[in-house]
Amino acid sequence: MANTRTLKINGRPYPVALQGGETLLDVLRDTLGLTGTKKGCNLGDCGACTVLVDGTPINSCLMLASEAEDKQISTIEGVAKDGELAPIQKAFVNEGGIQCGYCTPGMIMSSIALLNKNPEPSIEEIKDGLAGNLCRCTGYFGIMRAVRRCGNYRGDGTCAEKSGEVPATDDGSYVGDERYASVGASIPRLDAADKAMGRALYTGDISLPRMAHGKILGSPIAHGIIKRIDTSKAMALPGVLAVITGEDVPDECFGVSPARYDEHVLSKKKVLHVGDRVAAVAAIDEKTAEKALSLIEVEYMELPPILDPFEAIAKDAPLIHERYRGNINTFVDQAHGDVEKGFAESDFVKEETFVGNLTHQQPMEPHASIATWESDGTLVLYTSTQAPHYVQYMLAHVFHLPLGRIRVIRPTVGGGFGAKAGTSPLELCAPILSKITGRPVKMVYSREEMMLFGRGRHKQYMKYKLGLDRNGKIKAFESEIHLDGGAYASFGVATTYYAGNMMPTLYHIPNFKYKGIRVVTNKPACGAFRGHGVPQPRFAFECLLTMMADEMGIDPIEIRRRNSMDPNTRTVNDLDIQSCEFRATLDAVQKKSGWKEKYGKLPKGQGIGIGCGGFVSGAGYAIYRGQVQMSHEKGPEHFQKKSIFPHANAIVRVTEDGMAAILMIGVAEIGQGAETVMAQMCAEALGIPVSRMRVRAEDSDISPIDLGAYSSRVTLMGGHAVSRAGQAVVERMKPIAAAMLECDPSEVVARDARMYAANGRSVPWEEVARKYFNDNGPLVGTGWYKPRDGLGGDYKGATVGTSPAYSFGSSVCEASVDLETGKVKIEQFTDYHDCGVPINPMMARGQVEGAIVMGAGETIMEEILFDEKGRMMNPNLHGYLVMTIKDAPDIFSGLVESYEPEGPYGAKEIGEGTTLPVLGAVAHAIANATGVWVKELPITPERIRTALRAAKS
Amino acid sequence: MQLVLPDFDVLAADSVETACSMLRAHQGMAQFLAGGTDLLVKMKLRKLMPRYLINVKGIPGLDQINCDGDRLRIGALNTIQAIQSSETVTREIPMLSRAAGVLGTMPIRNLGTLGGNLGNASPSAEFGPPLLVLEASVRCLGQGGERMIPMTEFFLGPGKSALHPDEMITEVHVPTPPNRAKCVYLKHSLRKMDVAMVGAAVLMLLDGDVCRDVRIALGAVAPTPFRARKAEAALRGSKLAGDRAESELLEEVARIGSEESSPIDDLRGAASYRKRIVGMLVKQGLAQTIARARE
Ligand SMILES: Cc1cc2nc3c(=O)[nH]c(=O)nc-3n(C[C@H](O)[C@H](O)[C@H](O)COP(=O)(O)OP(=O)(O)OC[C@H]3O[C@@H](n4cnc5c(N)ncnc54)[C@H](O)[C@@H]3O)c2cc1C
Ligand code: FES
Ligand code: FES
Repeated sequence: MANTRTLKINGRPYPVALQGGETLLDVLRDTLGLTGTKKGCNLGDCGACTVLVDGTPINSCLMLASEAEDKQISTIEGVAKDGELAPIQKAFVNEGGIQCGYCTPGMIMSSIALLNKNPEPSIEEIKDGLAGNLCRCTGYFGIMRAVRRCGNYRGDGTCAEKSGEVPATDDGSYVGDERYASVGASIPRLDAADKAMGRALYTGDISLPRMAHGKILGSPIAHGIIKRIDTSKAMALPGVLAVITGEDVPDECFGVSPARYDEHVLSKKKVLHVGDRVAAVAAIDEKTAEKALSLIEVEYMELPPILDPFEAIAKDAPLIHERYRGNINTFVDQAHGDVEKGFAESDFVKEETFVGNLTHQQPMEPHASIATWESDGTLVLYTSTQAPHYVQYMLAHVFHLPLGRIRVIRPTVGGGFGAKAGTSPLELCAPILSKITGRPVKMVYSREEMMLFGRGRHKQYMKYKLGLDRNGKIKAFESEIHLDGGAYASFGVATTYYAGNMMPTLYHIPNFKYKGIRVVTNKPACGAFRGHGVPQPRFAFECLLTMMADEMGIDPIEIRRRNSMDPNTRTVNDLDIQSCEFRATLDAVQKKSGWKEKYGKLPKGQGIGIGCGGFVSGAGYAIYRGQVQMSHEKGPEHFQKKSIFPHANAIVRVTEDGMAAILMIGVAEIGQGAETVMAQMCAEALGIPVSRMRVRAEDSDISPIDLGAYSSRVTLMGGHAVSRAGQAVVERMKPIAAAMLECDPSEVVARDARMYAANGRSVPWEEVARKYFNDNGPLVGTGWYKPRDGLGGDYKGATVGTSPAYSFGSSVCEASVDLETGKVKIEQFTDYHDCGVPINPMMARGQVEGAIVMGAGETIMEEILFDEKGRMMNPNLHGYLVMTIKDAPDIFSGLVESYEPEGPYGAKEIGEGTTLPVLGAVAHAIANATGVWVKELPITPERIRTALRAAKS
Repeated sequence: MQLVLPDFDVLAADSVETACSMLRAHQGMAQFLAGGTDLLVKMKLRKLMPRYLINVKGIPGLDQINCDGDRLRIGALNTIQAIQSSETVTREIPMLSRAAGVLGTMPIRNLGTLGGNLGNASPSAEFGPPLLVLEASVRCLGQGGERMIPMTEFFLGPGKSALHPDEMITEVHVPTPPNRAKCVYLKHSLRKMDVAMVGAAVLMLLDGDVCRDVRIALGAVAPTPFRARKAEAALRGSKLAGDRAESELLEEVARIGSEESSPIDDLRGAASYRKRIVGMLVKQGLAQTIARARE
């Protein structure tokens, strides 16, 4: 029985009918539409749902709504007054405290409670107040700055005075390029204010009229054959609208690499991991849908699960997929140069084995999708994705629909890091359920479901052999890597190649051999996670190089300098490096960190370590072959060493009054700041301020395709497209301006919202735009970008790792280790990166700060664990440990002067490359502090203790 | 699973007596609801499916903290945060306020209560070890009337306490430790907010250089938090002269404490590692309290 109660929210009464069993969070979001408060875990672990009750922050997912009656509830929606941001919101916006924004409302509510009690909290007090709010993007550093400096934000949004107490993130040594107005400006993100107010709409915040809710039934066993499914009881439950099983979904498989599409929307016969999809339901609400799942009867014939990759490849091991012989899904065997000769010429050779960990991206926003069909048969899908075009491509493939009949809308996305790069079962089940029910169907993963869907970082077993001459120069490197891929291919083919191919980009490696074996096991499939395939191999390489340097008596930074990559180099495996300021990053971290005074001179228990890394600025080739077209319509596609279609495309339309430019580009803003840097580059090309730009990137009906936010491609590729589109507009305006200025069109320059003749006379930009419209109709420009033809070598797999440009970076980590317990505290990070010309230095540093905390967490605490039956033991955020603000180190993030000739305005990537130096730096700092190397991730206190004990005996 | 709460009805109790009679009326099908930070999580995960939740938060008078003479009386409905920031607690027994400060996160501390922490009877309950060394007792009320359960008899097993099925915790009585006694609570976990992998509380009373009394309690390393009596006995009455003999003795006491623990392998740590940490924490706890006693 429902009772009508009144909740007092943000000073206003809200009458609500309560059943009694709803959490405050669900009532706020679902009943009252106050979706600013977020749901990241629903179990009290993440803090995204933090609201204030009588001024006190609490997890609204753990409070019954009925208990909140008679109390003052404050949510993010009430913080800004009359549209004016409160000082704390301004601070979050301006200090880089916001990226994807999913943690932001909770973070701000916790900050408000803290500051109300204590207007000038110490760093420790801030950490204590915010430790219950997880953020996966910012590394907490911008958040710390925001809370510390909140007092400085006056009504006008300016920062009154820079308080010196916050550890400086930058020494100001980086000087931007004066030629540019918008490029190189550390402006706040365009979407920051909306996120700070809780106004940004994520997929899970959206509801459509008559919307139904869908859920997927996951397998309770890791390996088995579905013998019988009885859905009749579920179907009979009042409120259930549809129940589907493997029989009701297309025979067409989906996946990522076209050669390895190996997943059905729902299992047709076998289940291959716990959580594998068995059936799906749609019902009038979530609760009913969940109940219906429990009424579906499934009878399985259990098969023994194969969980260990080495057991999977053992002779006579049963096959998980018929098609993968020996349970090997990808096999790579490459040799470049002459490794035997290289080792023969080496003075020092060392062999070591390293083991990585299965980690998960854990974006704070779990996946969500809403599907609906228009009456003309067009499928509309709202979805939390980082690659809208590939989702569109995959829907076309599975449902045999032309791409033109599929509209993908990407609302605000709360982080991805690779978890949302492939197509998810939600994206495929929702359309089917929507078709059957005739209603929009929304599907949202819980944290557990998201983790069981998987696509995290492959656990890699790395056998390395490295040969150096007496000066420490690399002569030969051989690696054999087994990747535990889980049940499906996903991104795994590319992962396997990346794991080897990227090794020679950082150091000159004249002779290189790589064997990669990706194995299928009965666990959730692994995929692409920030740094795709490379972080663990890079960690292992960095460790091995440092070990050898120490043994040979060469300083670890010096040995890197001696081997470091040079600009304009073709690597042994045919990757073309253009700009490269790797050595400058080494010099800078050495100086800034005080390396020489510290390395080898610290007391026991304290350590300092170096790690380096870099990444591609966009994959040189698209994931599928041929042109943009439904796959069954295409004939067999032979590989051509060129891009068939442009990877990034943009349209700029100037509004008829000339006061705004609408940039239409399909880049996926997932928190990294894509829309903001696109606007900056486009504004630069147009000669107008960013404030006049509006970006429409969320809708495939509006924007031409962009391949998405993966392989750190957006800044470089999207940047070219938008700046070319901007230039195209200016070219159209030039003759008009020339006529007005009585000069030659070729002299006209657009700058600062005016158009100038060579003699300095000028007219307002908008005036020219209006004139253009009056005489020529819409003022539009288009731009596109294709990687240049012929990238990479000719051997099998040579395409992976090809890119127009490569980033470089070095990190120094300082850590202390309690030698008795093995507990590690990461104290300080000093990082310098070569990302070409940073389009927005504040946001670039935000990427570095986030990657450091994420990477450090991966190194010391993150790992998904399974029991002997293949059940995940920690499918939540209290078992899977993500660093809190208390665990995060202080960070100094610097950028070195660099210019990338292949990049727009000289820019290249800083999204994924930032993760790569981190793992090795942390591992080295720990080894330096303890005297022992732990070669298995994560480097837990327990493992450190074991290593210390082993070293003693 | 989407973690929607299973169906239940909420019954509001306005006195301890009604709460208890409600519990009795729905024997086996009802749970008290205080902060809900343990209960609602278990319900969402379908580990518990009570038909009725008896909301005890509205019962007046149970959120007091009083100091009468030589004991603190802490009402069961005090939130963890209230205990942490209570001036009385901080003044009289700083260890308790610090133990509260390391429990979970700020929003959890604002919801969770002392009664819930004990009622939940987790082997890793944060208040277990400190209240054990303080020799506190739990005041509860049920059909059979009121009684005091000594802390040492309160925990019976994981999730099991000495409470009768119709009893509610109303207060915890904590004798303030003797004047010169020093206490400390140490928690080992990978992140600060996590449930303890090992928790250890030590109370030390030095008389010159003689250990007049020592109490050691351990959490998360046995089916319940418990007093490490053998370790205590090995130290009680011994001379602590700050010499080599002392450090050898403390090593030995730590070793005994570690022997007394019986941790299991779980996600948070292997049994062998936990045993080691027990020894470590006991040693640290003893060293810290002895050092402070000498100040
Ligand atoms: C993210 C997170 C982190 C946490 N971290 C920690 C931690 O570090 N250390 C730790 O110890 N705990 C931790 N917890 C667990 C929990 O917060 C605490 O145990 C808390 O004190 C429970 O109190 P509560 O009021 O919320 O209990 P509830 O959930 O309301 O109740 C718990 C149980 O006790 C019973 N109960 C409640 N009050 C009484 C009473 N007065 N008399 C008798 N029975 C009663 C209930 O019926 C129920 O069975 C954590 C929980 C979460 C979600
Ligand atoms: S949603 Fe409530 S804490 Fe995560
Ligand atoms: S900005 Fe904090 S989770 Fe993305």
